[in-house]
Amino acid sequence: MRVDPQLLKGTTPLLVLTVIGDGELYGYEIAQRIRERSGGAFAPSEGSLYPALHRLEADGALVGTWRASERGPRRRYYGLTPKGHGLLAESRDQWTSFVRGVVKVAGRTGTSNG
Amino acid sequence: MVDPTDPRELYLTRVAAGLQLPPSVAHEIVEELAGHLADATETLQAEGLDAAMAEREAMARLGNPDVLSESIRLAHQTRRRALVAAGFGVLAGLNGAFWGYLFAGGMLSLTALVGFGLLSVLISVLGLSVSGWQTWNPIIGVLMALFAAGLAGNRVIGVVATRSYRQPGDIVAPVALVGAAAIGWVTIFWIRIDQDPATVALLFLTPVAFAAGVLLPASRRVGARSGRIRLTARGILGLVALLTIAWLVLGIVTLRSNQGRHEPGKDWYAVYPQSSLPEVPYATDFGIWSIGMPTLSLTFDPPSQLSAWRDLRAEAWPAATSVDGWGGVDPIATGPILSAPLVEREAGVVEAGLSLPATKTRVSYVALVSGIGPDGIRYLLAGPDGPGLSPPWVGTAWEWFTTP
Repeated sequence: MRVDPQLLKGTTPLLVLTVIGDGELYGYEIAQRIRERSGGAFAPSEGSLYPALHRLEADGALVGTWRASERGPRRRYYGLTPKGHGLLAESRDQWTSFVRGVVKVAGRTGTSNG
Repeated sequence: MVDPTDPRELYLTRVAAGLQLPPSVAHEIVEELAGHLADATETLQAEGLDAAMAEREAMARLGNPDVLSESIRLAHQTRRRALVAAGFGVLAGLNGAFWGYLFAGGMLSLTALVGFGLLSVLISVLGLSVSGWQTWNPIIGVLMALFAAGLAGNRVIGVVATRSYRQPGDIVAPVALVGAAAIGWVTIFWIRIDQDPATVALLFLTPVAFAAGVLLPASRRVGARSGRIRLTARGILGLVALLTIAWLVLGIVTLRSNQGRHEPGKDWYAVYPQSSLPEVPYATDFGIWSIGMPTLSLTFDPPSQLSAWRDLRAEAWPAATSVDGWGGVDPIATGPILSAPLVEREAGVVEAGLSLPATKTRVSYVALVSGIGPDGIRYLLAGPDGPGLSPPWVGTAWEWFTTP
């Protein structure tokens, strides 16, 4: 099932931090990894990926370094900083609480009419 | 040179133009996006699309280049960067004020010398009989400070815009308001100094000058020293010529004629007659020791003579103005500014101090001693001496402005 892109808004930083948490990646790899790990259900707009990356880097959650790539020109790899690890944990907790709340309200439990 | 037939180059060029970030930062972002497009195109080709379609699809997935560049630019405008930029802005403002003050001082002094020098030559050539002209010294100080404030404002907006990755036009209003408010609070409500009309005007106009410097047209290119005032050789020469002419004109309109000059000492006895009684006390230690606090002492010889005089007073009267600065008592004065009784300090010696109040308008005064003689007439016993100047009025500009 294809997920409404509107639902993805606000989740891009969490998704980015999560996949980078497994190891340093560059922009295109991040987009691919998110698509793969979601089983193809969704992928954040690539136009929102780089603003999120730069915002996280400016905030000190990520550190970017240029490295030579096997695929041609150099690529900018992003890794989590200690602040980024903390932000990831916090974001995960917030998301978990949010999802629980949504499931309680809109989840498939009991009857819906009367 | 951008290849107009290469869609990817056109796309990246459009992104680069919209970023409006420092060149080094923008270059890296474009390089990163170029790598992304290359990877995406390669992947799409591997999925079966032809090269042109794959490239179009890759760019479409990145989105509108204008929207993308704006989003990335906004991502770099962090609060931390703004705070750091504000700090550098303060330093830039102080730097601009310092050099602006020096430059204005040098320029104004030099052109005043030249202008008034030309005026002297003109007077000599024309054979005019004049005693002098107004030198406008307080105005020089005011203009120096206003130029310093304006230059400080101009420097601040440039540095803050560059370091915060913002366009000068986007931040000119808050920088002008906050800077003018901060400077205004300091200059109008906090600084306590010797105030006079010129100083108060300066203190009130300084925040206005700062805001004007901020509002001057600024470069729209972030990353350079945006909006920095740069004086060319032609500009400096033009400014020198303009100021020299201005001083010359000001000197001409304020020329003072030699006609109607006061005679020294003419008005001395406009207050009290000089005593012709025998054995009149003489003044010792008489004079104005400090501005606003003259101390006067009178010695009676022999000391017994003191009993013949009564109601001895030290008085401060408005001074007469004259071209040479020594005119005695103002002939139209009807009474002293202040008086104090002379008190006997030791046998035959009487003394008094005059503590003049500070007023908004500094008063030039002369001090004298008077007393009622054995014949019941008040005589001038010593003085007038001076002119002295009443104490400075110390306070904030706002206090001066609101004091009646």
